[in-house]
Amino acid sequence: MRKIILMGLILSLLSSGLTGCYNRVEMDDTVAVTGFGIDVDGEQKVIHFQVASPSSKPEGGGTAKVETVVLKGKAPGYAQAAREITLRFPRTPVWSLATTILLGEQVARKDLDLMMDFVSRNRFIRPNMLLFLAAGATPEEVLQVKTPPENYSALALVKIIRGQESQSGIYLPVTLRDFRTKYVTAGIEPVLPQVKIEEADGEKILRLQGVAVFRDRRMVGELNEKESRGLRILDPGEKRGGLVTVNLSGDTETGPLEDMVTMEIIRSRARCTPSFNPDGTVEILIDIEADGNLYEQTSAENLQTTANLARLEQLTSQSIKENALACIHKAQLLGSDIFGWGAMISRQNPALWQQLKADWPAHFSDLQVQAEVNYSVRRTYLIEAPVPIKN
Amino acid sequence: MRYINRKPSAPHQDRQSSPKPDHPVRARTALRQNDLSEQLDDNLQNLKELLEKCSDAVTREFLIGSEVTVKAAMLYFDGMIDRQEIEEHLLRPLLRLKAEPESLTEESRAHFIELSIQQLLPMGEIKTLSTLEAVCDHITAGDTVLLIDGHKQGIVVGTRSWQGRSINSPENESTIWGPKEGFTETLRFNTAQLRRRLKSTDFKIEAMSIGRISKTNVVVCYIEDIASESLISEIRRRLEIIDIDAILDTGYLEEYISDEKFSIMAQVEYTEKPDRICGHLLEGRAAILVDGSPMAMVVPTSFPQFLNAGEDYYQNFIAASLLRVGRFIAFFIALLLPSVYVAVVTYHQEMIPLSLYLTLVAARQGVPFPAAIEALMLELTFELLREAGLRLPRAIGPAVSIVGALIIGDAAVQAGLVGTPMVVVVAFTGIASFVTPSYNAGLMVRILRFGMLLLAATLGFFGIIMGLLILAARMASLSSLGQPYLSPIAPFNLAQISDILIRRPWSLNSKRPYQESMKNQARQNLPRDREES
Repeated sequence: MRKIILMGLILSLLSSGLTGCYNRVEMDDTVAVTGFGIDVDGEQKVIHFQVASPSSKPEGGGTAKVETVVLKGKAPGYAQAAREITLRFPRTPVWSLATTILLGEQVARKDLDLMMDFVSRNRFIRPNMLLFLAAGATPEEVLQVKTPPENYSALALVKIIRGQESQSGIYLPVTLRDFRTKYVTAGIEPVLPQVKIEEADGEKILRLQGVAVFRDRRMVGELNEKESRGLRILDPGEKRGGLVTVNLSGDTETGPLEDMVTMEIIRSRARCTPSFNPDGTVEILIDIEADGNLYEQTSAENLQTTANLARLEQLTSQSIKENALACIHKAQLLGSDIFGWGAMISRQNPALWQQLKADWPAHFSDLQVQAEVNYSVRRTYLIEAPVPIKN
Repeated sequence: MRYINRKPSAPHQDRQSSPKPDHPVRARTALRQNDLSEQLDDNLQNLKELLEKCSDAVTREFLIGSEVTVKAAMLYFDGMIDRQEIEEHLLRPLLRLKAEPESLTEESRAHFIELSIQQLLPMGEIKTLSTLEAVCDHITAGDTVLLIDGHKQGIVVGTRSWQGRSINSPENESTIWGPKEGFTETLRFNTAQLRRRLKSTDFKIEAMSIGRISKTNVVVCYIEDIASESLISEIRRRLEIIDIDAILDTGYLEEYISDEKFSIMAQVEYTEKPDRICGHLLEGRAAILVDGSPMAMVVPTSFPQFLNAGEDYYQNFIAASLLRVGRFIAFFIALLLPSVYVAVVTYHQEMIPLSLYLTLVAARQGVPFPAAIEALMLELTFELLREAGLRLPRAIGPAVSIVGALIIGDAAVQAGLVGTPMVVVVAFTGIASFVTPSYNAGLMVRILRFGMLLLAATLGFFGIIMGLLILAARMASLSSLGQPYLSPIAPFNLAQISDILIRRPWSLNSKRPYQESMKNQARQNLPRDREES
C-alpha cells in the first residue's frame, strides 16, 4: 500500500513537469481570421488576413465592439509571408475559423500552382472554405470594403453567395475542396465566382459579378451573368431557387415591358449523357427538368389558361435552354471543359478517352450538344387571375 | 526502491499481551457468561455490578401476590420502555396474584409461576432466558426482564417503545409524483412500511445483529420467489464476517458489501423511499436496512440505476423517458462541460463557430488568469458554497447565498477577475449536477469533474477522451455482487436497455430486468400472452 502511495506521489511530481500539448494558447492571445487573400506581387507572394480584432470591453458591461483589420505579409513563399506578419502583430491568428479565401486576379492569371500546394497542405485551411476571385482589385482591397450590417466582408461574401443562390440563382458557391478536385482531375476545369468592387454614392460596395473560367492552371476568361445562370442550371444534382424572366412576345431582351413575366424556378435537375456515335464522334445530350411558379406578370391577360400556361412553360424552357447553350458556347470558345464532360467520357468510355485526352480542349470545343428543357408551372401564389385594370 | 522495515517496537508487543485477569472490564465479561441463579439476591447483586454507572437502568423489587408473597424484581432501561404498559399489564396483575403457596410443592411451584405468567400477563411477546448476558442484551434493547426468587429463569416481556421521528417525506429525495413516505431511524417502522406494500409471505426480512458494542439490528430484505439464492447467501456471507464495534449508519456496510473497496465510483444505491425499495425488490435485488438509519441500501447496483428517479415509473412513460434522456445528458454536462470549455478556449479555438469565438474573446478580454486556473477557482468556489450551504444553520443560509451569488459571482466578473462565460459554464454545470437523483453518484461526478478539468487543461480534447476511456474501462471492470456495473449497457442487453435509456411502458414490460440466476422472470401475465398459451 505504501509503495503504491509512493509511486503515486512520484508520478504526480513528475507530471507537474509536463507542460501539456504544444499548441496550447489562451483564447485571449489569439485573433480570429475571417478571410484570406492570396495573390502575387511581381516575384513576391502576398497573403492577406482579415482579422476580427475585439477592442477592450466598454465601460458598464456589454459586448466589446469588434473592428476589422487587414494584415498583409509579403515573402517568396506564402507560409513565410504568413509568418512575416508575426513581426508586426502581437496575437496568434486562428486560421481555421476563416470562411473565405480570395484569390487575386494576378495569381489566377499567372499560375494557380503558385498557391495550390500551400492551401492544400496547410492543416489550418479547411477544405470547406469558400473560394472567390477578386476581379479588378487586389484581395486586400476587397477585404477592406465595409459591408454593413456585416462586420467582415469575408463573412458577408459567404452570406451573399448563399443567399443569392436560393433567391436569384445565378452563381454557385465553390469550396476549396471542389476547386482542388476539379483542378487535379483530367477532363474537368475549375471555375470561381468573381467579386468586384463597385462605387455607389461614393461608397465602395462588393458585388458578385461573373464567373472566372480556368484552363491549364490559369484563368482564361469569364462568364457573364447569363452564362453563369446556364452554368448553374447545368451543374449536376438538384438545384433550388432562381428566377427566369420571359417576354410573351418571344423576345426576352427587347420585348415590351407589359409582356414581361417572371417565372420562379423551385427546383431543377440537369442530366448530361454522352452519346457515342458509330463514327467515333461524341455528342452530349442534356436533359433539364425544372419546376416552378408564376411569380410576377405585368399584362392584364389571364395567363392561367391551358394555352397560356403551355406557352409560358415553353417560353421559360426556351429561356433556360438559351442560358445553358450560351454558357456551353462560351466554354467551348475558351476551350475549357468546366462541365466535366471529359471526366464523364473517361468513366463511360475509357478507351475513347485515351484517344481524346491528349487534345481534349480542341475536342471539347467541337462537341455537338443537344439540349432539351422541360419546365412545368406548379402554382401561382396568392392571386389566381391578374389584377384587373380599372376603367 | 527498498523499503526499510521498522523492527517490532516495544509498544507493539504490549498490544499483543492480554490485560490482567483482575481488570474490572475483564471480570465483568466473565460475569456476563454466568447462568442465573435461583437466589434473586444473587442475581440482583450480579446485575447491579454489570449495570454499574448505568444511571438509566431501573431495578424495581416487589412482592408477587397479595396474601402470600414471592420476592421478584423487574429490570428495564428508562426511556426505552412503555411505562404504562409495564404498570398496568405487568406490575398490577402480579401484585394482585392470589394463591395458596402452602399447598405448593417445589415442583408445582415452578409450574404455578409458569402458569400464572401465561395466564396473567396479557403481553404480546414473552420469552424465558437463563443467562445474565441474555438479561443484559434484552434490557438494553428495551425489553423488561422479570426475575422471580427461587426461579432459575428470567422472563422477558416485550415492552420496547421509544420516542422516534414520525414518518416524513424524505428531504433529500424529493419527488413530485408518487408516494411521499420516507424511512425513519426506527428499523421496525421501516420494515413495516415495506411489509405494508408487499403483503406476501414471499417477502422475507432476514435479521442479524452486527457490532460488538452497538449490537445493531440489520435486516436483509428480498423476495424469495424472485431474488437469486446465490445473491442472498453472498450478502449474508459478507455481512456475517463483519466484526466491528458499532454500525451507526448503512454507509458503514457499503465497503463490506461492495466488490471493489478502493474506488471512487458509487457502488451501491441508497434510498429513503420504501416504494423505490419495493420496486428494486421486485426486480430481484435485495435491500439492506440498518436500525438507526433512514438510508436503505440496494444491491446489486448498476450505474444506469443512478440516473433513474423513482417517479419515472409512476408518470406517463413518454414524459418519463424524455426526462431520463435529459438526466443522461445532464450527467455528461456535469462531468464534462467545464473541461470542454477549457479545452476549447486553450487548445481548440477553431472548433467553435466564429460568432461564438468572437463573443468569447470579447468576454474574456483582460481576464488575468488562464482559463484552466479560472475554471478551477470557480469550480472550487462553487463546491465550497455548496458544502457551506449543507452545513449552515438555516437562519444564515440566505446570507451565504447572497455572498455567493452576488459578491463572488457578479463582483468577480465586474472586477474582471473571471470572465462571464466561465461563470455561466460553472453555474450550468452546477445545475446539471443537481439533476442526478442519487447523492452518492452526484458526489462521484463532482470529484471526477476536477480530474477531467486537469486533463483538459494539460492535454485538451485528447486528455478528455483519454479520461473518458479510462473512466469507461474502470466502470466496465467493476461489478456489484457479481453483476457488471455498466449492465445492461456493457455487457449489452437489448431487452433491458429499453428500460434504461427510456422508460418502457408497462404494457410492454412483461419481464423483469434480467438478473443472474433470477428465479421468476415473469412480471405480468399480459392478455396477449394468456391468449397464446
